[in-house]
Amino acid sequence: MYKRNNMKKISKEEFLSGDNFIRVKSLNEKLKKEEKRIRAFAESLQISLEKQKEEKVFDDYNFQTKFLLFSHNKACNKRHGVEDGDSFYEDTNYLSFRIGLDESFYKDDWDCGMGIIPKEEGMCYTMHCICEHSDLEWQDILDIEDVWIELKVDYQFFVEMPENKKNK
Amino acid sequence: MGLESILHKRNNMKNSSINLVEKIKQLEADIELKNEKITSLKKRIKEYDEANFWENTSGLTNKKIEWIINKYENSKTERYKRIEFLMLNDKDRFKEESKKIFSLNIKLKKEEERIRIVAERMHISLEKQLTEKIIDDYNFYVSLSIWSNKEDCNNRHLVDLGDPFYEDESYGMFYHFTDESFYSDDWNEWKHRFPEPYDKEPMCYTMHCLWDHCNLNWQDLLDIDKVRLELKVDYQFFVKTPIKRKTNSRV
Repeated sequence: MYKRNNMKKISKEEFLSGDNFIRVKSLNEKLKKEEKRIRAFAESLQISLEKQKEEKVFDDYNFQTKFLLFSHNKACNKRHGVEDGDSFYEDTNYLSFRIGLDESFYKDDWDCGMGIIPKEEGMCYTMHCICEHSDLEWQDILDIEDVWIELKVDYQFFVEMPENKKNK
Repeated sequence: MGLESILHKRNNMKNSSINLVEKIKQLEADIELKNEKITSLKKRIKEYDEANFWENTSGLTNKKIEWIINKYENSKTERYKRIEFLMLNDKDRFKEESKKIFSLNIKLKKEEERIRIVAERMHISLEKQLTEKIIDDYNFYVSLSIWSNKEDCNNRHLVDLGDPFYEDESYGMFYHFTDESFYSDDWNEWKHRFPEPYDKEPMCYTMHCLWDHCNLNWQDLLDIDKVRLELKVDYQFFVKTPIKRKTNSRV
């Protein structure tokens, strides 16, 4: 944290200039495309989970989503105190891909006045989480090399001892 | 000193000598009984150790052997003591408590069969999704957690009511490589210790894990109210940044 606080920060103008801007726009575009791919899978997965629960294939389930950011940049990993190959940021409060989630999560422009992505392109929700919900610096965002989005499902099975219930 | 008094003293001495001989005989009998019990206990401990050292100890260092022994020692000692005590003092209670443990075993065995079907279907589906590039990769792991509604049990394990009092993250079942023996073998390594008819009862792998891999004592096993088995899957999707940066970022 000491190193992060003392790193020479880049300004928003630098972040949005030249190659940096192209890089940020490309990441947003890629994430938007990936969201569409994952949404189709996540929705059919959750329908299937509900069906299997009703049919008592399993007793219950948990469905959670999270994303992780990786960099091979030595300075970036050093700033975050991680080794190459480990994620330098994890967002476990990432709410996307849940069934019944409002359409706006997939269609709206999530730039929210930050002025990062041009209006005609629109910022996707995942990019919004990276830029707005995290404590990452502009430099950290430029250092992102891989984004992992995970749908985490726990298929649960319970065994209960009814005779013990009497002894509560 | 008169003759009568001498005779009286002699009789007293004779009587106390008889009493002493009887006492010595009684003590010797007690010692013999205790020795028999000790021999029998030693024999049983040896049998247990032989049954449990499935690993080839000749390939292990003394330190490793010591570590294995220490790991199991506490819970094993407690269960030995408890079983021996119940067997000698309260056979009915022992039978009743064994019944409880084996009733959980039957339920777990049934659940294993149910989960195995789901897990095997899941592995096929995950591999198919991976091949068809619907997902980029996946993680699969399994966990076992146990709960109790008994205050004493939760206090012993320093957990609140509603929280599991034991979680086994290294529970190794339902993977695609899990050997058939995990589902079909009898995992009861304590058979000779249970009363009839439980000395012939096979034990499923999950019960074996609770019994032998987790350092739970006899009362913990009796206090189990709920077992949760979880198949955990992470469906993974990767995004790579399209443009590689030429320079290192500033520190």
